[in-house]
This record gives sequence, structure tokens and C-alpha cells, in this order.
Amino acid sequence: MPPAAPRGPLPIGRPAAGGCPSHPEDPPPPTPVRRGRLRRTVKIGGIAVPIWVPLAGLGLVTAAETGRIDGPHRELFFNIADFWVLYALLPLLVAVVVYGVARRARVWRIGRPDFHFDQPRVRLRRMLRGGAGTERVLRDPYAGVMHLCIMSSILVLFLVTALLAIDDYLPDDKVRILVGDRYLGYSLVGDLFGLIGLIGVGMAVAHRWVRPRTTWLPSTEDKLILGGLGLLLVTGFLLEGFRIQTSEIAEHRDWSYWSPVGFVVALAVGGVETAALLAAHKALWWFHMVLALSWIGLLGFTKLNHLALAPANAFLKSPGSSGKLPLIANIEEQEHFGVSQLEHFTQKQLFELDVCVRCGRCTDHCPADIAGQPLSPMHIIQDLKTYATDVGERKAGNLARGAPIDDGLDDAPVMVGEVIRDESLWACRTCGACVQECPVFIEHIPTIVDMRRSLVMEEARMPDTVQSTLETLERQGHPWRGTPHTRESWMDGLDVPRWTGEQEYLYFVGCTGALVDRVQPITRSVVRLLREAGVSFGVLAGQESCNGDPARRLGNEYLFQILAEGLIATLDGGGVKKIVTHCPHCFNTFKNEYPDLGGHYEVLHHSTLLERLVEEGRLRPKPGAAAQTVTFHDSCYLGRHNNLYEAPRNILKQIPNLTLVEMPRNRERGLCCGAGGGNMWMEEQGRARVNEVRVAEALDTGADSACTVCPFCVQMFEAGVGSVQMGTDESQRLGVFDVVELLDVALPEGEPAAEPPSGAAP
Amino acid sequence: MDAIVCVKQIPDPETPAAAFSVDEAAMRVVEAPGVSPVINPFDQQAVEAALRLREADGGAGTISVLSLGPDSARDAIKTGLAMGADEGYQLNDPAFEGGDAWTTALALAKAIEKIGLPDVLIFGRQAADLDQGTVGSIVAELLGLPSVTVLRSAELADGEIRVSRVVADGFESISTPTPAVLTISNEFGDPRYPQLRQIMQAARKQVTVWTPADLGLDPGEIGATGARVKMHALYQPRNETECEFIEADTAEEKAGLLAAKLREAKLV
Ligand code: SF4
Ligand code: SF4
Ligand code: SF4
Repeated sequence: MPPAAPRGPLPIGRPAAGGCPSHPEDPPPPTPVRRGRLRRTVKIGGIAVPIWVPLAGLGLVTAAETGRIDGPHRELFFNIADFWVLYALLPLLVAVVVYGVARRARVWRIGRPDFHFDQPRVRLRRMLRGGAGTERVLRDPYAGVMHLCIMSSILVLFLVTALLAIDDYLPDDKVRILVGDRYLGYSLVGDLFGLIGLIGVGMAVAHRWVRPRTTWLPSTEDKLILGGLGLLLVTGFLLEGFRIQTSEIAEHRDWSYWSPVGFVVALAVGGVETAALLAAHKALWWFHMVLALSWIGLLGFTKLNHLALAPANAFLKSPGSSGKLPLIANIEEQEHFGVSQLEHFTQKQLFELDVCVRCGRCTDHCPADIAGQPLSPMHIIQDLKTYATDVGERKAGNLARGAPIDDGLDDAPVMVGEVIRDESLWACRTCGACVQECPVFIEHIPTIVDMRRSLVMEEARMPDTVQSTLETLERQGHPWRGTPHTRESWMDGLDVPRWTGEQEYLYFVGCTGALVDRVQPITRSVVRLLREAGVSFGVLAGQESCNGDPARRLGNEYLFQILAEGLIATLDGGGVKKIVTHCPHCFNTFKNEYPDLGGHYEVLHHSTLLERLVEEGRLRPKPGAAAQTVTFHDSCYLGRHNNLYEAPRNILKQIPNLTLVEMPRNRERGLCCGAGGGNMWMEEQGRARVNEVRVAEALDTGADSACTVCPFCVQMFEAGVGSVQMGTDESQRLGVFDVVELLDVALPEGEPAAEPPSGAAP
Repeated sequence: MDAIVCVKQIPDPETPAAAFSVDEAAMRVVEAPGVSPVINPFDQQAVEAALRLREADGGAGTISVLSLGPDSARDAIKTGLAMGADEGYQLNDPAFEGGDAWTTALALAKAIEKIGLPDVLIFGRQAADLDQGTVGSIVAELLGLPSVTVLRSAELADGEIRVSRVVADGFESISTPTPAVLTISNEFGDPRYPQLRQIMQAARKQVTVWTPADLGLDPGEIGATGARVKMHALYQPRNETECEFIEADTAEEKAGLLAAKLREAKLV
């Protein structure tokens, strides 16, 4: 009978998420934020809700046998006859909810049954912390507190009500739970959480109607759920007040103090005639009960269903890096490429649409939306959901009848093109901000890229710039159309060791590192520093080819696989085991995506290796440099997608006379520079360019320069500085550097910082 | 509407100049690693033109892609097939090597006769490697067909083709009876990006390969022996810059010296 205590891994008392490399999707808590402690307290409290609420209930119940009937207590179902009607309504309620969910489930089932359950421990942990514990919800303090209020209030009041029912079934003369001090405590807890619930509802209402955000407007759902809950709580208090006034206040005023809100209501209605109050009480009681049941019925038809679906989705979300896109296996044998119809989505992707609660967080953090460009991840999900409700249900109906899935659907709008516009799909940077912020663990990126895949591979419909990038990738094996360089130009005059198969690391320069004027000096700096520190490494030089990342993010999975298979053959043929990549995008692809294609390597980003070299004293930055203030821009493919935030910062901290300042959006909240998802090669549409937004943020810090560790970010920043500071004299503009360049300057040429360690190869 | 599109495979014209070198003694371009052969971009537009003409004509008819070249030239044909052409023909034999525009046109004309004269024969305006732009016209001459060159648009109407040509000071609208030879300029518009399904189908399609014997050609007429153009030298033009600083005590003197220099170089 008593609710069981949670078993298995408790979601508290674990090390901070940041320390656990096995689930990079849970970033470490933001460190130097002033509200840090408050937030952490709230967070821990929130995560623990599923524990302390049942525990409290358990405590009350187990104490039951000592109850005495003569202490403070109340009459159950006071003033109410025929309450069995309620029990009769329960099956109806269950049927209604089941019907609502089943209708949605029919739509989910038109998708491809492609479920994954690998790494169940990671999934389970996320389900407990993120799903039940609302960890992600708490990332936004206001909404987090609001949600916590409402959620805990519902949970506690549900238990309070259940306890009352249980108590009713206990034989009155032997055991009672709700008597004596326990009854008084119970009353207080009930009142308190009713009040907390009202606060939560108030916050939610303020969030929507008093100071609404610009990105979304409250829907009917919001009105039903919040209105219903608010009314439920208010009527609950009125009922309590009426009961106290009519049955308690005269004889046991001291009991009434334990229901403070009810007591106030009782005082307020003190002048009303008892008979009238009793009549009102009876009517209101029935209203309250029907309202409660109807509100629970919303579970089947509104986003209230998230209280079950969100934890389920937390479990279903892929446990790996958000930088990894799903592979299309056996691509040659597919009937369609990517997603142009609802039924091409996986069942999980369709399920996800129903999990979305329209909170707008994804859109609030989307760089495209921030720059006023035509993309809002929330609307992608919501528009698909609406489409699934309409067209999806008709398709499911067709299937159920055994008819062709598109029967009678000629009038339906086109999903990719009309419902979801092409320009929205192209504006996505695959930066992962949406995936990270979504409190119900929706994965937007695969859904967006799947639709791009269909645009490119099925329909060959894409912006000219995308087409020309893909053609260049096909023909030249790199995306830099018109480059005057070969893959070896950057090596001129520098003694760069070529890969022999004997060295420890392959330094993978990448197309951008080799072919772009602005980036070549950075590549040369990396080589110089690696040599200076005596690292055993080599480069593939002319043998390199694109790893396929741009092709994949642009939706040409086929080209990606061809490029990747070619490169894996080169790498394996050369006996490569450890790779240091120049570019975060290469890093992500090698690390997270190549294993699917049979390429298994130990992959490092250059900043990680250089951090290690500085730490070991193999590179010792020299003092004497002029003072400089620098701000660091996180690359999403290193940071959010791979949880690497500190290595570049640690290098910067080792450079004498350098002050590091952070932009307000930093680390896991860092704003993309705008280049990701192939947007490096596209024209942007919208109010501003993403790089201009980001450069403005860097300028606001007052830093002399912005630095990063990504060759795309460097270019985006330079372009952004050019347009934001157009009128500023060049020498006064924000400097843009790779961290490596600053380290290089701090290590004068020809002064090896340390003896080459033994074991270093030629 | 039936069409034959003749295409050539060339070293990627986007390759940076630094990647090329020339063996002046052998009079050959040394192929640098990493320079991939591609379909001549103008020829890709020729395929596009054929596809658009057929679409405007109701979509019926066969488009064939024909190329003279070594094994690798198959890829150029496949590019055309992936875009939507139906059949591929390749003229591949060591005897074809070392030819010029004349021998190429001769072989192509024979092949076209063998395939069967279509409504239109389409070429790119020129190959982006040697930029001669003559093969199309020679084929027209050999087959006795009218030829309209450097087109930015073409449409089929009442058994005629109305075209707009790019000329030095504008455009020229003319029409020609079919069959005719058209050569397509870049103003025609970007070639389409093939759908993946078409790429895969193209990969599976067979390309018919013919040798001189299949075409009834004598090896002496074609290739290096049949060529009428003789190459005397092949070299990379050298781009040299010299930088000279004019030294003098005052700005006026410097300006005077500079003016003298410029006059000497006949620049002012
Ligand atoms: S991945 Fe980034 S750019 Fe794309 S929708 Fe999400 S937040 Fe926006
Ligand atoms: S997708 Fe997630 S973050 Fe975006 S609105 Fe829906 S629930 Fe909120
Ligand atoms: S270039 Fe840098 S910030 Fe921009 S998308 Fe790539 S990793 Fe993200």
C-alpha cells in the first residue's frame, strides 16, 4: 500500500555532471555565476522532488497504527453524501485519457520503428535527473521555480488527497492516520502546498500575460491548464474555509490554526448563515471534484501529458554527443533519402513532437532566431506537431483501413516546403543550443537535418551556394571553391614532418586549415609549437581530404559516406591511431561519427594537446608581453557537442599578462558564430548576421581581442568585426585570434621550452 | 525531342594554378595529384540545355551523352546521365589520343551518324581547358547541319529552334530549322544538381564504348596522326614582378624621378 521508496541509483549524491565524461550531453554547472548557490539549492531541491515527496507520504502512512480517534481530526466526506459517484467516474476518466493517448500513439506508429536502447544506465540516469527531477527545467531560474512550485504542489496535493481516501478505508475504531498531531501537520502541509501551487500558477500567468516574451503567445492549452489548476486550488481553499467555519472553528479553534489559508477563508465567511454555507459547500465540492477529474483528463489531450512523456523522452534521447548525426545505413538500398513525409520520421521523432510543451527555450537560445533569421526550432517542432495531428491522423486512419497511406490526402499541404519552409531548414547552424536547452529532451538537429537530406538528395532543391559547395566537395574533395592554394601551400618554407606511420600523432590539418589564407598561419603556429615541444607527429599533406562534415550537415549523406570511407581507407592504410585535429568540426566527426563507419581513433583537439604540453612544462610561455584583455568564444562543436570548455581557457590563463574576460553567453550557453551546419558557405537572410551579434557581444566585454580555437569561428569573427566596426580605424578594432596564435607569440622562436622528452620520434 | 550532347572531360578548371606544372620538353601538362578530372562546365550546361528543351517539349525523347576520351571520361558521361540523360556513348581507344579539334569532330560525327541523327546536337561553347570552341562547328560542317553558337537560351517551336546568342554588344535572336547544332554558353543558367536516386541509377547504367573500327574510321585519320594542328611549344606564362624604390632626398625629387621612369616605360 505505501508508495515504494525509489530503488536503484538515487539521483542525488552523484558527482557533478561535468566530471562524468560518459554523458557529455549534461554540461557542468556554470561556474562563476553570482546566483550560482541559489540555483544549485533550487536545483538539488528540484531534482530531489521524486524522493522527498513519496518519503513524506511514506512517513505519514507508516505512523498510522498509533492513531487515536479522540485527537484532532476531521470528519471525512464532511457534508457529502453519494460520494461513490466519484468512484464511478474514475473508470470514465481513465478511458478518456487512454483514448486521448491512443489517438496520438496511432500517429507515432506511422513512423519507422527505429528505437535504440544502448547505454541503458545513462538513459535511466537522465530519465531520473532530467525527466522526473526536472534538471533541465531548472536551467532557467524563473521558469524553474515556477515549474517546481506547480509540480510539487500537484504531487503533494495528490498524495494528500490519496491519504484521505486511504484513511477512509481504514477501520475507524482501530487505525486512523489523520488524527492528532499528524492531522495537524497534514493540514499544514496541504495548505502550504496549495499556496505554493497558487504562487506557481501566478508566476506562470505573469510569464505569459503580464510580461509575455516575444517568441511565443499562450495557447488555449495554457489557458485550460493554468486556469483549471488555479481554480482547483482556489476552490480547494474555499471548501476548507467553509468546512472550518461550519464544523470546527467554534469548538476547536486551535485546530484551525493549522490550516492557515482555510482559517482566513473561514473568518471571511464568518457572517454567513450556516445552512447557506453548507449548501454552498456541497455545490462547490461537486464542482471541485468534477473540475479535478476534468483537469486530469487534460492529460490525454494537452501538453499536460509531458508529465509522463517527458521522462519517457529523456530515456529515448540518444545517449551520445549531440554533435553526432544518425547514419543512413545501406544508403544505396533506401527507397527514400531523408524525410519528406511524416512516415519517414522514426517513431521516436514523431513521439517527440507530442512531448514539446511550447516553452520556447530552444528558440530563445537559437542563434538564427536571435539574429532575426527565419528559423525557430520551437516552431519547427510545433508546426510538425500540428501537421501530424491533422495529416498524420488521416494517414494513420488510411493505414488502419488498409488503404494507401496517402489516400485522399491530395489537399494536404506539402510538409517540407510549405509547412516547414526551406529557408528555415537552411538557417540551422546545428549548434545544439536547442537540444541542450529543451527541458523535455527533444532532439531538433536530426529532425532538421533529415528534412535537409530530403531536399538535397531527393529533390536536389537547395540554395545556389549550397549546391556549389557540394559540387566543390565532390570534385575537389574540399569545400573552398576558388582557393588559390593546394593542400601543401601552407607548408612552404616550414619543415613539416610528413606522416610515416611511425609517429605518435597524425595532425589532421583539414581543408580550412590548409586552404584558407587567414587560417594558414594558425596551422603553421600549431606545427611550430608541436615541434618545439618535441611531439612526435606528422601530416598527410596532399593525401588529406575532407572528412565529410560539411556534406553531412548540408544533407548530402551519400557524399559524406563516400568522403568518409575514402578518408578512413587513407587513415587505416597509413596505420593512424591517434589524431590531433586542427578543427573542432573534424574533431567531432572523427570522434563521434566515424565509429559508425568503422573508423576508430583516439581523437584530440589541438587545444587539448597544447594544454597538456603547457601543463607539463613542455611549452613555457615567456613573461614580458604587453598586457592584453581577451575574451574567449566557445566553438559549439568543441563545447556543447563535446563538453570541452576548459582546455583553451587554461592555455590562455598560462599566458603572462593576459586577462581573460567572459562574454555573458559562455561555455554551454555560448552563442554559435554562425558558421555551423554549412552556413559558412551560405548567404544569411534576416535582420542581422549571427557573427555580427556575436562580435557585438565580444565588444561589450571591452576586450582587446576575441579568440577561439576553430578556423571557422576565426573567419566569422573577422568578417563580423569588419561589418560591426566598419567605421573604426583598423588598429582600433577588435583583434581576432586563435588561442594558438597568442601562445605562439608568447613563445619566442628558437627557445625550446624544455628538453624533448625521451621517446619523441624524429 | 531527341538530342545528343557531346561532352569532354578536362582537368578541374577550379584547380589552383599552383597545382599545375608543364613538362615543356614533352609538351604535356603534368597531372598533379589531387587534380580531379571533371566534366567541362560548359558541357554540363549543354546537358542542362538538352534536358530543359525536352521538358519544354513534353518530356518525350532520348537524350544521349557522347564523349571521346580515355577510361576516366566515363565519369563525365555519368555526370550527364545522373542529371537525367538516358544513354551514354564513349569513343575510347589509344588511337584517338593526341588528336586535335578536327580529329575529334570527325570521330564524333561518325558516332552521331551511327547513333542516328537527333533533332538537336548540343555542345558546350568551348572546353574550359584549351578554350578553342571549334568542335561543335566542325561537326556541323561535317554533317551538313546549320549551327548556332554561344547561346543563352533556346526553345523549340513549330519544328524550329529559336535561340538567343550572346554577342559582343548584346544578344542576337535567330531561329534555325532542325536538326541543328547548338553550342551553349554559361549565360544559359546553372546546371541542375542530380538527385541521389539518379546518381545511383547512372552508376548502374552501361556506357556503350566504340573504337575507330566500330565507326569505320582508319587509325591514320584520327588521333595524333590525323591531327592537323601541330603544337610547337607548351609552357606556363611567367608572371614576374619587380619592385623598385625611388630614392631621393625630397618628395619633389622623388616625384620627378618617378615621372621620368613612367615616361621611360611609356606609361604616361
Ligand atoms: S541547432 Fe542551433 S541553429 Fe539549429 S535550431 Fe537549434 S539552436 Fe537553432
Ligand atoms: S522543443 Fe523543447 S525547448 Fe523547444 S519549445 Fe518544445 S519543449 Fe520547449
Ligand atoms: S564555427 Fe565554431 S561556433 Fe561556429 S558553428 Fe562551428 S564550432 Fe560553432
